[in-house]
Amino acid sequence: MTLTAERLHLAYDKREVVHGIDLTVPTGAVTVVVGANGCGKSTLLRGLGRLLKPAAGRVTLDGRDVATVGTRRLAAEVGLLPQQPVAPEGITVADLVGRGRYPHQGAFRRWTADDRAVVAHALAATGTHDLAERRMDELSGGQRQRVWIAMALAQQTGVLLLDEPTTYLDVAHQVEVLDLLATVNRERGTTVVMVLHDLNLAARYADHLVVMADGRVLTEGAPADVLTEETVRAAFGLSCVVVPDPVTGGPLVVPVSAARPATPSTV
Amino acid sequence: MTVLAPEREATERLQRVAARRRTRGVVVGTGLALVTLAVVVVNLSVGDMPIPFRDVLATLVGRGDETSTLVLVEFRLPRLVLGALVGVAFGLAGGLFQSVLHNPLASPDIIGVTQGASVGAVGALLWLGVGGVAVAGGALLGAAVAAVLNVVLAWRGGVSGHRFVLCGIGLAFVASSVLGYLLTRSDVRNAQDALVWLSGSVAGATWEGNARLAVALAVLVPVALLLSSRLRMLGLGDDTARALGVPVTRTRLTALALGTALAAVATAAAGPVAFVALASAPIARRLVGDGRIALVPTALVGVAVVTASDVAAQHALPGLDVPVGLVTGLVGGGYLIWLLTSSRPLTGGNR
Repeated sequence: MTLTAERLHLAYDKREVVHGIDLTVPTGAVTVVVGANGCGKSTLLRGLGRLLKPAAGRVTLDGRDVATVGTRRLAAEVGLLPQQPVAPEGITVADLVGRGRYPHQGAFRRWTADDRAVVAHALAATGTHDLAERRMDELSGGQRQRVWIAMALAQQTGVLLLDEPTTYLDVAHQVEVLDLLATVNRERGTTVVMVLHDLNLAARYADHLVVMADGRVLTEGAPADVLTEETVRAAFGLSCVVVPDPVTGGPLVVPVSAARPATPSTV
Repeated sequence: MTVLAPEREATERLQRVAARRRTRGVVVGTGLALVTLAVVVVNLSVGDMPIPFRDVLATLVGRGDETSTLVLVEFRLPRLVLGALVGVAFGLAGGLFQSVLHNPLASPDIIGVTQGASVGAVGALLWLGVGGVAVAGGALLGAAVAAVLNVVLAWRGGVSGHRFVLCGIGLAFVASSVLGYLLTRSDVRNAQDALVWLSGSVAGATWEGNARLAVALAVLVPVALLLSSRLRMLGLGDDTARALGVPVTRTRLTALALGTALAAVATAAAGPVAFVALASAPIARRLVGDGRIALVPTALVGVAVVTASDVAAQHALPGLDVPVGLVTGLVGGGYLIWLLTSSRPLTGGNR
């Protein structure tokens, strides 16, 4: 299942944020989109997930313009988890994850044993099976995020888009959530596209890294090829040193800052 | 898959959650039915001419004496039925508005829809001097004008709760001014009638009027129920709902149109019975208690609130039959103050 953007322009009201992006999301891989605040990366994700109608250009899924696919049918193929989703007051984990089945239910088709099996599987896969009876408002941030991902898994889509799934999580839970998504990608072959802020986590988890600046794709490719000192300067206006990640050997971005200058021995 | 034990645990827990929900649904449904039944008994048997409940039953199956039959069939029963129908209509109208606008204040009686209906109905009564169907038409027109104006004023590529409520409160004041103008320009006796109607009363119930309202509800209520699974999805916020395949804007506009129609037909039949729309859905939600909007319990709460309030309205002050709207207003006013001063945020859910 191939998701592409063709000459995609996206705008809020009249203000254009994404200026003509061509992007082919590699199928079955993890793609991470990075860029400075306001560069249009979340907007691009919303455009790919059809939360935002293109001002011009189009988004296609296997060559079909997604604007021509029924809302519910598309939702059975492309899932999206917004940044900071809101749970209704008092909702249980079981109920929330169950709502991921909505696109697979017809107007009159009720809840089936099949739906329950899918939800149980999603709960188990995200390690939230022991939370099923709890209410969302009783959970910690990390637990809650895993539940949201379980809901997205229950949606059983080939493509999963996530807008900053690690926001407001501490570093241990960030790694936990990203590991979970990497596992989902590996075991189910789900195509994952996510926006991340942390360049080093992005480099570690991405098969394909897309760097955006000012509403355009600055460069894209394997993290090792893409994440260079020049790219970081162009995208973020930040001087940095890129060294091999001591854990994975991939690129590790170390910022250079004026207030804490480098000592001659280290650089 | 390697994880079999967790999946089994998840399945068991899911079954327990579902079982608990079913049990709670039965308990809440039964409880509300019992309350309503008690209210029905009191409503039908207590009054200037007390009728023991045994006789009430006998009369209802056609074996009562002439006076009991007259009192019950011509006076008490139509009044009770009107109260129940109005309770359903206002309860659902409020539930629909609140759920699609993610705001407990977004109720047709706060944001000008009921006021618009009142202007239309009073306009028809006072200026055109017509009654019955024309009043309902006027109410529908007035409510529709208020609702459409509200959507247009609050529109920013979609409708969001906060703007909608603020615009609506403004519109409610405008409608009240127009209403005041209509009343001051009309004959005193007519204005007196209009004022009684405006406080929300089921005392003037007729079988003919009830039939009209029942027909309207027979069309509107099933549509609302069909919409309920989508409404539940909207509780996840616009982006998540859209990502799950819900046509968000279309659903929201449909629900607003339905809620407007329900509020309008109820207002036409009984006047703007205060606060039933505002309070029914939150009470039902609290009873059901798992964060989902529950339209059927909401309608039942509406029935219980209106009919119970009407018992109080008839019998609380000896020898004085006050409009039911005064009682619901008194109760609902307290509820509103509690809502505004309690710490829960009023604008959750919608970005």
